[in-house]
Amino acid sequence: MAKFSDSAQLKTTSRTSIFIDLFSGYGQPSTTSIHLKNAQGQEEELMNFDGNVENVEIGTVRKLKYNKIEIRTTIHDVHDNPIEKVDISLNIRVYDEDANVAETNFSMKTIGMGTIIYSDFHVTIF
Amino acid sequence: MRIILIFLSVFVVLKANGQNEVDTVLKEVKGIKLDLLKTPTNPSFQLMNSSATEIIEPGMTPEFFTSIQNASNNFTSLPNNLAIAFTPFWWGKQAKNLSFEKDFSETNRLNFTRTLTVSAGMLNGVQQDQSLSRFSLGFQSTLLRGKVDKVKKDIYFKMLQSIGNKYFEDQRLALQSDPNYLKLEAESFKILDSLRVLSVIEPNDSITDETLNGMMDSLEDTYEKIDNQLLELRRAISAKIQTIESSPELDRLFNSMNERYGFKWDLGGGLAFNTTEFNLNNTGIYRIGLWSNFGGNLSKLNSGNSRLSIFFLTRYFYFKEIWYERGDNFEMIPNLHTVDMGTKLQLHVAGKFSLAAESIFRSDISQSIFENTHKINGIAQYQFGKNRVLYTSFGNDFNDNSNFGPQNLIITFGVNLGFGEDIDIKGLTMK
Repeated sequence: MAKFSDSAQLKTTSRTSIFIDLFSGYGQPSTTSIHLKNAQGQEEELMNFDGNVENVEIGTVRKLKYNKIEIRTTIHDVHDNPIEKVDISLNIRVYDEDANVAETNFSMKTIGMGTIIYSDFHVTIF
Repeated sequence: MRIILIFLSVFVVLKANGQNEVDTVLKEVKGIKLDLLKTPTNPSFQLMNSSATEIIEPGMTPEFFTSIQNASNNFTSLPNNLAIAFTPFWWGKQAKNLSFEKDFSETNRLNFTRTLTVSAGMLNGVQQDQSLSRFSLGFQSTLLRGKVDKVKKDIYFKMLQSIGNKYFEDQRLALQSDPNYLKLEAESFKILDSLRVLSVIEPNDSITDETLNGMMDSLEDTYEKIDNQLLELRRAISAKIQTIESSPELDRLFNSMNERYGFKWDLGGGLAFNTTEFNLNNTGIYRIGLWSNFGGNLSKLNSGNSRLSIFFLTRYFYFKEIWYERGDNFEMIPNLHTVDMGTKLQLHVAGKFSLAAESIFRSDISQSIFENTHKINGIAQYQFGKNRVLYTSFGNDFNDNSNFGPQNLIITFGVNLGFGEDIDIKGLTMK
């Protein structure tokens, strides 16, 4: 099992929307859920998806600014090699239309048969 | 007043330092308990002519199993048919890191070394001569094990994913029970609130744009430090979430998934020795054999744990010499070569109980006086635990010693006990 945590701030100058690109490797099944957390500790699930996504809108700047979003991803390693270690990676990029970016990258060598990677990436939108 | 409150909120923020190191922890969860032993025999018994069944369903066997059997061709008060079998693959490192795609695949993959089993056995006393004992050395390898059922694999995988989802719930509970984390998080939200307020204030005579920007920059810097501290705590707390052994439910689903379908094929062989009163001078080869079993399910597997299967056998034996009765005469047949062909119908019920009927015909290919013979046999087996098989059989024995046709009943009772085949799956965690 691998656990990966990271956080970042996205200083947006846009007035439109916040987007996400997520790449969880080739052929490795993954699930991701994105939550908005407010000052009272309440959570709202904004969206969830399986696999990779590109240029998907998380929400409007009006809704997300000065809030935290938590991106939780689970990746299952089911690769086809019982002996040799292989690279598993996760790349998450949160950005606005003006190309302000908060991103994180994670990679590790792993062996198949059910290795699970848990990633939580907290992004605060300023 | 609002400005004062904003300043106050800034002062309550703690000084924080953080690190941006990537923290990865790789842990193993041990303990998928494989249930592999399904066979009611041992290659050595087949070589010694004391097997409960002549035709077997090709499959993989555990690291080690022992066969203890009593048979009516040499009944004694204690079982005296003994055999052991090893599967060396399980000794290697590769057995600890199995792959879904290679070892539990939805396609039928060709194997030899992974499924190779080496066996040795002995029996004391045979029907014709109680002073005679037999030893054997055999091997069996399943070349095609069949395919993993996709439906069952999906069920197992969903179970894995549900465990994966639980990690974040465990993490949330762990973070909420840490006072430092809660305190820092509350402070971070206060800063966000302050920033939200500042962002809507228009510059005026009492507060200039420069002052506002300076305050916001300062708050963002403080926020970043707190956020780093929160990250550090989150990593530390997450690392403490415990790993556990695989659950019985996971084992059950895994083994259900590993009940395979599709074409199955194996190859076996070996040799057996006869010895009289354990005297080296009276020891010699009884027979050498090479055989292959193949077949598959007649019914679909994913409809449940019950299935109907059919298997076929083709087998070659070389007998060094046999005494053969024909009419009133006994003759010695040297270097007898025979070929067996057989079929077996097998019904598995509820993954535990199995009934089978088989018939095998043996013919001479060395053009001796040996006449064709056959064996018709019924087998019942019950799996009373993981890798524990209790079995019995009832049928006639081949008549390799006269042309009077099959004469002797052979009834067997035995148990196969397997050990040491747990495998590791990495990353299954529950708190």
